[in-house]
Amino acid sequence: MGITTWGMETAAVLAAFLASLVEVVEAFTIVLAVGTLRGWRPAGLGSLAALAVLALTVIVFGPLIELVPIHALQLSIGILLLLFGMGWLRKAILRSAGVIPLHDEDLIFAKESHHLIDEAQRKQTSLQWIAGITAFKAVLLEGLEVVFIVIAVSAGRGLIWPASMGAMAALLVVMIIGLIIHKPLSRVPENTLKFAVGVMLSSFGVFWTGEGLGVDWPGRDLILIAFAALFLIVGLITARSLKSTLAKPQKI
Amino acid sequence: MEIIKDVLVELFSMFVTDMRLTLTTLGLVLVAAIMIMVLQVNSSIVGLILLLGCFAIVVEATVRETKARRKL
Repeated sequence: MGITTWGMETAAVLAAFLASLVEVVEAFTIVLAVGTLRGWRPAGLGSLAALAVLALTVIVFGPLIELVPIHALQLSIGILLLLFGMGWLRKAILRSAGVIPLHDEDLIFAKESHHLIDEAQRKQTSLQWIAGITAFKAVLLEGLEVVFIVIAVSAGRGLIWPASMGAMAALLVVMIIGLIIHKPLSRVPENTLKFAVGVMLSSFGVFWTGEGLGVDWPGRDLILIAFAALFLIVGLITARSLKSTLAKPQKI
Repeated sequence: MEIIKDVLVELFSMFVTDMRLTLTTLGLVLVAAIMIMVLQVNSSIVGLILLLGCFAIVVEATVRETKARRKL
C-alpha cells in the first residue's frame, strides 16, 4: 500500500469515526430518554430498526455510487462535502467564539423527556409505540449524516468498509460508555469534535471538488494534510477574533 | 409520512445550514469550473483559488452571523 493510499484511508476512517462520535452521542441522549422513561424494549427496538434502515442504505447506495463516472462522482461528492463540512465548521467556530450556545446534552435529555410525556398525553396513543418511534427517528436522522459521511469520504476509492468500521467503532465506544455511566454523555467535548470534523470534511471537499474539475494537486493525496492544517488555522483565528469582538462593548 | 418529511428536512438542512454560504460555495465551484474548462487557466491556480475562496466563505459566514446576533 502506497503512503498516499494509507494517508487517505487513515483520514477517511478518522473522519468517519469522529463525525459518528458526534452524531451517536446526540442520538444516544434521545434513546436514553426513551429508555429511562418508557423502558428499554421500545428504545432498543426503535434503534435497531433505524440501524437496519441505515445499514441497508449503505449496502444499496455504496456500490451504486461506485458505478458513477469517477470525475462526476468526485465533483458531486466534493461539492456536497464542501457544503456539509463548511456548515459544520461555521457552527463550530460560532460556538467556540460564544456567538451561539454550546450543544447541551443534559438540556436535550430534559427537553426530550418532556416532549415524550406531552406527545403521549396529546395523541393518547400507546406510550410504547411513541417511545419506539422517537428512538427510531433519533437514530435514523442522526445516522443519515453518518451514512453520508461514510459514503462521501470513501467515494471512488473503495474505502467504504474502512470508513464503515470507523463509524461502527464510534457506535461501540458510545454504547459501552453509555451503558456504564447510564447518563447523557454531556462531558464529551462535542464542539471540539465538530470543529475537527468540519476541518476534515471541508478539506476532503476541496480535494474532491478539485479532482473532479481536473486540478492536479501537488503531493497528490498528501495535500489533504496541508488543507486540514490551513482550515484549522483559519477556523481558530476566526473564532478567536470573533470572541474578542464580542468582548468589546458595542458602539451606540 | 411524518418520518419521510423529517428525513427530507434533515437531508436539506445537512447541506443548507446557511443559504448564503451554500450559494456562494456553489458560485465558487462554478467560477472554478469556468476557469479550468473554458478559460483553460492553470489547474494549480484554480485549486488555490478554490481553497482560498472556501476560507473566505467560512470567515464571511461567521462574521455575518456574529454581526446579526450582536444587533439583536
